[in-house]
Amino acid sequence: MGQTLEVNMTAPLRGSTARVQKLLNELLNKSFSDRSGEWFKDSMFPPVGNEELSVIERRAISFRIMLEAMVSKENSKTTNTYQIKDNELVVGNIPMGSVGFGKVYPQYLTAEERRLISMANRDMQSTFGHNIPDHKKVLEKGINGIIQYCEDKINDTENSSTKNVFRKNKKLEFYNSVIICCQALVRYAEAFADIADENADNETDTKRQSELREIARICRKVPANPAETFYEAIQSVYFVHLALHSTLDYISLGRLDQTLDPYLQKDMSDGKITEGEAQELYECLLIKCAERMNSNPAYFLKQDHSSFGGVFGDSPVFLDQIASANNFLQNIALGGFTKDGKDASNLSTALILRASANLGLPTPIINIRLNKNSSSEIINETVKSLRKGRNGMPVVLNDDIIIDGLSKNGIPIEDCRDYGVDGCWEPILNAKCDWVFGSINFLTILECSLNSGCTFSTDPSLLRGTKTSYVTKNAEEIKNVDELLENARAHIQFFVDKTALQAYSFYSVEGSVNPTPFLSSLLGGCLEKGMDKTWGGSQYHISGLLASALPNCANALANIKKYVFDQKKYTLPEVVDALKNNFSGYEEMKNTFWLDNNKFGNNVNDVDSIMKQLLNFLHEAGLEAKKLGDKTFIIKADEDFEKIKNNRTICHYEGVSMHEKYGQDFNMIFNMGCGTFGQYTFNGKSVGASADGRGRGEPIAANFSPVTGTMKNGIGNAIASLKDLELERFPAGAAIDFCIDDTDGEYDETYYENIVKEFIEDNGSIMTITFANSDELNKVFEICEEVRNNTVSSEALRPYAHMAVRVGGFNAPFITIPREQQLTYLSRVTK
Amino acid sequence: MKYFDIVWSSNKDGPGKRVVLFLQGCPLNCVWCHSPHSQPMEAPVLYFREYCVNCGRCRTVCQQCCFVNNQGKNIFNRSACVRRGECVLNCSHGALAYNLRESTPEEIFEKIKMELKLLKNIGGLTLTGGEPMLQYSDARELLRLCKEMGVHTAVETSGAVNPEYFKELIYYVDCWLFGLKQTDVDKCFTMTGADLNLIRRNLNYIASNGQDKIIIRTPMIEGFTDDIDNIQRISEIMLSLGLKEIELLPYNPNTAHYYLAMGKDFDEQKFKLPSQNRLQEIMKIFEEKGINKKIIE
Repeated sequence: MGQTLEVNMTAPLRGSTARVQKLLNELLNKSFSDRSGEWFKDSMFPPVGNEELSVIERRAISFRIMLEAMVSKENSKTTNTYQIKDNELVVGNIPMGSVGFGKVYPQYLTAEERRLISMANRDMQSTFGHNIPDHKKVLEKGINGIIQYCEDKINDTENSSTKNVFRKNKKLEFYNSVIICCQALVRYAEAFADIADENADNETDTKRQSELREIARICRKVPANPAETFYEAIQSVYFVHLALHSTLDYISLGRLDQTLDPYLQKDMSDGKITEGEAQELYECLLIKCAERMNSNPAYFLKQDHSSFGGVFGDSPVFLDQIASANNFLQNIALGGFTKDGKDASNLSTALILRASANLGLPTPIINIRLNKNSSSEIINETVKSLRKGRNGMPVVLNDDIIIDGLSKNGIPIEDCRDYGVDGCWEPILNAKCDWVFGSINFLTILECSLNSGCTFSTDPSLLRGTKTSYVTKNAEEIKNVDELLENARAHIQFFVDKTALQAYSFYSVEGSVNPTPFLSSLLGGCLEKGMDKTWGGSQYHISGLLASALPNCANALANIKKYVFDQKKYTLPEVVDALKNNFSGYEEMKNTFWLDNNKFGNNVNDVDSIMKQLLNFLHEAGLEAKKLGDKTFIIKADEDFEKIKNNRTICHYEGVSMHEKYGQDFNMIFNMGCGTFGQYTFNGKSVGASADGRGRGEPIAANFSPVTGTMKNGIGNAIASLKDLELERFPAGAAIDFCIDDTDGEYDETYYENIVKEFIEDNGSIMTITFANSDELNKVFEICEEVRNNTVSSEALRPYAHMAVRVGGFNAPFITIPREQQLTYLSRVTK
Repeated sequence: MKYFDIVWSSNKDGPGKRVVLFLQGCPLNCVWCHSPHSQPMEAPVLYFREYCVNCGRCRTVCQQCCFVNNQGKNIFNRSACVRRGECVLNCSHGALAYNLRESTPEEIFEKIKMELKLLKNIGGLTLTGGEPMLQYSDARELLRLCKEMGVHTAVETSGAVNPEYFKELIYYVDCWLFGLKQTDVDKCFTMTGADLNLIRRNLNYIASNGQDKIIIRTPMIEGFTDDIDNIQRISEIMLSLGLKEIELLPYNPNTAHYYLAMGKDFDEQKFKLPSQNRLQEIMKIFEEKGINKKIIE
């Protein structure tokens, strides 16, 4: 494998300094090579043992074992985890792993637990990540401050005269576990101080030597102690990020500009750092976060370490492993408001936007929070970064809609203004919030609505199809579009209930398999209460429900309304027969449905009003589901206890209410959203043909975007379609993704600024804009085809390893995403 | 208004970034025309035989019996075609297309105004075709709505239409993309079917209402428009009217496509791009006369 990056026209040297360029080139080369040897092996970990201890304590021990294994010189010969590379300023190395590939981690579950989890569809890898830890707390108090807090709490708890021995013991287990993790992280940082000193002793270049001495000094100081300089703060943040990402928790970096800018401002006014040096440090940080990248699909299979529990949500088929090969759920939210409602944009906002654009890496995902009063400077920085990065970043979030929505769901306005982004693009409260989500597919809902609660099946042993939901009127019985919409409303409630109730019962399992003491110590509420976040400890719990295929469903209903009930061109039973048979023998119907311009995303009233209707149903169903969930799980039953208990048993939840179990503060905020994340090809496979002209198994719309190939009226109309949908009702976000061809090479920055402004003005929720050269993408696709057919070696892809595209929930190198997703992407490009 | 296409964001059809509306119908029949399907007021059904698999579905649904199976090949005999479009809807292979759409100016304005809003101050709307002046009355209404919104307007024309039409439109057009193709009267008639005197009369009229609103556009086709005499005459006409901008449009080599789809013959060998040397020579002539020139690829 060549050690130098082939310099070519498509991969200009990036990075603001020569140091960054070298680090970036090293990373790009590394990511294209076979990285399967860098993974940890189970044999590198001593057994966690201690089967008599609680699961949270064993989890803490596994955390310590992992961090210790990462700074073993012996392990590092293959894992490369205990090294400082030339030119590095930010140090520490996250071991291999990704959402798609899974993780290798010390097994902390007992043999007995590992049999029991067969019932729960969860295992060690089910740890959910998705949160924003309280970096500020570490910067201000240091990890030692947290240890001290826990020790004080242990004293208090031991001396308390509570009668509830069970709760007292759980608290002690929690605080002890946090201490084990914190001490492990401090020792990890010290190990890096040692190696920095060691390297410095052998370093001949005096400049580098002093850099290494500075690194050693910093690693002895943070994260154990409060950070005082910008450099210390950035290293401290990375240590915490690294510790969590190395121990199963794929968490976000939160509002990085808010966290770090005060340190930068102080250093700049003290004359300790220049803007250019700060730019370089931010770029170094982003590169560190991206170091687990894999851009050569030839080596993917060897790196599959994901387990049956390594999935998100409630379904094992929920993950497109290949597309998620480079998904790490690490987000950075920039800009927006301060807690007291002022413009939060600062110098770091711009520096991080520029850093991301300079590097053009697919991860971490950069998000910018904008609103109607955002300054023209920040909008211009946003557009410049979009244009330069060309990879869909930053993601644009409309604060006007999202903050309004969060606050309508009962969250105090100060905390709403402090939201960040986790996972793919989900807004989540900063540093004090837990998150879980489920997903429903509106094409499944439509199938059930047309086919009396069954999905379409070709299995000859079935009659109507696979029984999935309530029995409702069948196609012969449905006489008008309102009756069809009534069916849809019933099935929406069915699936929303199912997903919402699962979110509540999530807590009854998660805390027994995946407690996460270190992350909990950095989530507001947990440390104070002495409760892990999986025991309901954090201040807020958000349960998200993401509705997918809404654009397909609205388009299909608009066609049925027009051609079945208005024009009477087809009968509904004919349409259902056509859909069951994947339009075979009904080609004219398929073309009619597909070619009709009445499609969501074109600012056409007929279909947009159906979309509005579906969203109304969804919103109402969400409110109803929350009522039922709260009544069943959360609220203490004062009367009718036997009935509620019986209801809980129906939902696989036994015992006292969550208020009694987790405390009176326990809440479940139900945030709905519209999106697919990266799963739009995957989700499409499980549904039959649809009356929008889509064939069986074909991809569904990406997120809340117009269905691929149906956006006929330009971006202005696509954005205008959002205006009256009241998307603030969906604060988990409704993401619309655009891919714009700029083959012409001419562009007008103002045009893209106008798009961003119009999106905010028209009440959009979340938007991504990716720029692409469709000729180049087509060329790269052809090379990918040749590689897949083994006619050329995967080496032919090397020049294109840097080309990142947006895949619904995250960014990935184009050459690494599955074939169908590449094809969808190619046809998504709008001129 | 009859139109056959909208391009939502173009950098090649007037100043800045523009929405481009392609109107149906043209009184000219330039021998090199690259969108012959835009000429008749009733657009033809297009048949791309390279995509046809002879499944026969069009034969089943066509009430005029236009499609014939001849020795395993599907033949489109269009003389009886009444453009019902059933064949197009029944074709699953992309071999048939019918692009003509008809809307009122108000409907079209509703459809494009969100994009125009994004293009305000950095571009605008361009009407082209076909010959957009043929639908001058509807065009005027559409342009008026755009002007009300403060949107920049452009019209691309061959100039070979009734002078009254220009009078109707003159106050609603910010930029004319005016075609001067062949400026020899006889050649002009032979190659395009147009009366050069009419074209020049119209050009004089709009120039008298604002020279800086005009960009001359000349297609560059070897042996047809690239002769030095023609170029000299164009530059002289421009100088005499005080026109300062010309855009040269090199011949599009993928022109045969639509002729074949309309069931017409097209001699691909007949038309070529001028040589680089000739193009340079032409550019130099304009440069020497102080005319701003640009090649639109």
